[in-house]
Amino acid sequence: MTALLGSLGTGQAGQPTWWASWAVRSASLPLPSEHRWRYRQEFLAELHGMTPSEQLHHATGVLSRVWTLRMALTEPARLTTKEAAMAKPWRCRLRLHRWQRLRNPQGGWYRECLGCGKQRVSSGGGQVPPAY
Amino acid sequence: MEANRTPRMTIPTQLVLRALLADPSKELYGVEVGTAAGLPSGTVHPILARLETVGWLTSRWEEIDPRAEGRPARRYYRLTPDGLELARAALARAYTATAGPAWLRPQGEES
Repeated sequence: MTALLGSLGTGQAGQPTWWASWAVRSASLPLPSEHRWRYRQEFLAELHGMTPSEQLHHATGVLSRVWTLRMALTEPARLTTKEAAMAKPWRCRLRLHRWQRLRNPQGGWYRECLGCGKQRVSSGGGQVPPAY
Repeated sequence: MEANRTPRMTIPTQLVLRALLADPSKELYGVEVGTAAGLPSGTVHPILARLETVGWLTSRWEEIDPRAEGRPARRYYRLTPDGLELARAALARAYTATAGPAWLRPQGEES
């Protein structure tokens, strides 16, 4: 039991642990049958080279979003609001942005949050530039 | 496939597109996209699936010998030529509301 629990959070990068493999295999089950094999292989391949703690983080993340993935595959036009909100850092959700001051190509100043990328134009600073 | 549709440009979608646009010739697999975009595990695949459905992305299995490499082939994603243009245009339209992290910007824009 100690060895079992010990393998959950420590160790070196390499082969996937049994529980991470099991978790991502389980994550593929709710997916439409035509996509199931592909994502099971994709998730398993991504576990290789991760440490056990990274695998735990990754497998948990994949499991927690499997219904979002299912929706993306079955109803691509539909979007859960949670999908957008959950990816936002908690500091930014509380409006505790970490602003940095940047200059756009026109010479104006603007501020950008390091966490979520939200931008604000500084007073008298012109327009925010497109990145591309 | 629902080609030529524009996906909703949520912040995570923009971050994924910026990660792919940082080097459009480079193919990335799911975890690499997530790392480059700064998004947690599991968030990226639904976005990639939507972008692939609308034809902005294409994906392929890595061409390796799994026995020799000791791991299964990864699924690599890249922008299609149409997706490249459409993504740039969509990001340009969306920039006033949100934008990606500064480290994904081209060199020289930061003060």
